[in-house]
Amino acid sequence: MRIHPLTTWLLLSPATVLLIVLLLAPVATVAVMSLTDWQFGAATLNWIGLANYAELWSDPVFRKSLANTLLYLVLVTGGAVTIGLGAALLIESDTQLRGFYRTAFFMPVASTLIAMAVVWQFLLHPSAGLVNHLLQWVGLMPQDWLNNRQLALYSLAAIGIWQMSGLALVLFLAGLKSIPQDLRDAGALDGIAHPWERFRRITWPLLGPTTLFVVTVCAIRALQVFDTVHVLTRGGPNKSTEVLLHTIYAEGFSFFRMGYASAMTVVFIAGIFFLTQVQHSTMERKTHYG
Amino acid sequence: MPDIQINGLTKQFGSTQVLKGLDLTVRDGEFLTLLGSSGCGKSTLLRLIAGLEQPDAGTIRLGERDLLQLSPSQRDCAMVFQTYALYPHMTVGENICTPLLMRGLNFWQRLPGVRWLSPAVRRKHAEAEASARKVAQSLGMDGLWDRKPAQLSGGQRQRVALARAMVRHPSVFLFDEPLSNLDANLRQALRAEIRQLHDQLGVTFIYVTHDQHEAMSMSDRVAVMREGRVLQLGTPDEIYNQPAHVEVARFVGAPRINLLPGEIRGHSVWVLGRQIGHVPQGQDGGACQIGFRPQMGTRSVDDGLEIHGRITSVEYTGAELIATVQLAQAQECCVFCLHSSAPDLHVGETLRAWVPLDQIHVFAADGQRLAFQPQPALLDAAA
Repeated sequence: MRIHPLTTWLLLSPATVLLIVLLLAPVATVAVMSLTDWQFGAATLNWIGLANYAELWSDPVFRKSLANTLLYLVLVTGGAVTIGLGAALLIESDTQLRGFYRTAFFMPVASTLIAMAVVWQFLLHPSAGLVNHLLQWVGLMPQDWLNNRQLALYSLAAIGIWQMSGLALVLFLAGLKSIPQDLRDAGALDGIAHPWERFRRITWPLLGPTTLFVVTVCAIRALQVFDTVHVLTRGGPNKSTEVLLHTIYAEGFSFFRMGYASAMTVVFIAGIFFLTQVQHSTMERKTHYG
Repeated sequence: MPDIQINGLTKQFGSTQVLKGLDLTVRDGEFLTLLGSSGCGKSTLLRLIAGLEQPDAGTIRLGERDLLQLSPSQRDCAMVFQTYALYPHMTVGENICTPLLMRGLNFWQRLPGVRWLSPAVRRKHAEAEASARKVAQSLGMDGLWDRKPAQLSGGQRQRVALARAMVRHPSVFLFDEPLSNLDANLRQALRAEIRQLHDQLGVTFIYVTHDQHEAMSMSDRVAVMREGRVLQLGTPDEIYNQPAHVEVARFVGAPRINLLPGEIRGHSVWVLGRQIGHVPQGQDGGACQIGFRPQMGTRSVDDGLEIHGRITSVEYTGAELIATVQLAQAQECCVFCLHSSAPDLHVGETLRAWVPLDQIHVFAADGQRLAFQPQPALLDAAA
């Protein structure tokens, strides 16, 4: 049967229209806007070429924000992968409470982070917070977790790890399940008996594709951090927790510099795009031992 | 090397009793096959011998040594798995070297990089590689040394798995259905290769399969297992010609053995309305089963147990015709394998065949084989 070209286009049109309206057009608009000096609500705009990008390059706030975001990304990804993998290995070795642990660890992923942020705010409160009470109880100095310039970003990263490690855990559990029991048995007979040897020679290499996937997923999510920052610190104190999305938000909707915020958004989208490409290529190579 | 003595082995998974007090002696240097349908406990038994599972009760001894006290790697067993179980991230060479390196080097020597620091470790690596290459060469795998398992065919993978098992010269080889994932031709070829390997190495092979052809063609002795017990342990010839249990008779042989209901009156055995012989232990009024192989029926000799009935199907297999016959004398059907040069057989026709009385097996109601003395042919005492 021959399909009329018009039929093809007709069938493709709903998806195409949605794709253009919801995805391509906004990105294109942002890209064009990043080349102007448009202010939110202004009637006119001027074409200023790459001046916004030049300003980004020398803007200390943007640089700080970019550095913070990258540090946050590394901390959260590293922490979530470590905790997720460790917990997955522990849960996998015990069959009894597997379901319970999986649910418990996954809960932060499923819950609304804004609501959880309020809980964390309470936990980390300098005088009434549970964390400081516990610290005092064991004889350590209480800290002002969210208002200390040195600590605030790390506190946010800890919340990020708390939230993300459940996702890493579930993905690692799935990865561990896909390792055939026969390989562990063969290892046991070949002398790969000690748990550390088994991890190093069998489990870890076979988890390679899973790990790469978990790292990129966590990195993309960490790059998008906004809600905890907005609720808990608003980028402060003294820009110490300023992260990309929050800076974009502040530039665009507090200072109304839409053109400048658009330029930042383009940089942000490029970062997400890069990570998505990495993730995509790891997904494609499911059988990665070629 | 002493024999492997297995006594009273039981194993339970959840509420399923997989092994029920199993006894077995594996002689030094023999090729023993554990044969049975899936779920009979044969793989579990193999895993218990390997040390991959612990039994609930019973002992496994190698002479004076209690194997149950030893970890899998200390038991001097090598295993070949149905799924090959090659390490997918290692090359063929690394796969084969792994058992040698894990044994030859201690924890510190195995740490990454130590190889470049210590000449002694480097020498061990070189030795391991040399003997691994020798084994690979003997199996014709030397051209595949740097490939990854994913780049190999099923047969090549199983050869690599064999090489990995052979490289450390174990005293027992364990095979867990190693040929099940291969196609028929390859299976046949590897069957012969594994048997040759056994003759070369002269060590004990324990081979698990559900394929009776594998079991019969490769083994010195076969242990037929069912529901967690060994029904019969014997040479392939004994298993086929003197099945100790009706289930053994049913499992081994293709097409399946014909079974007819019989009766024991006093000492005499009756089937299809006539007396065919005697059993020493009288069992008055006891039901029994009369079995004979489809290959044993003849159409020419007017002697033995006469069977006749309507042919319901005919299968041509090349050398043989397989005819299914609905007996005129009873409810049952019988199957006969007849030489294909026999006169044409057609569905609907009547077939008359005779089974020599000395080819008949008699099983008691509980399935055990009964010693049977066939009636001298001419003293046919029709009731």
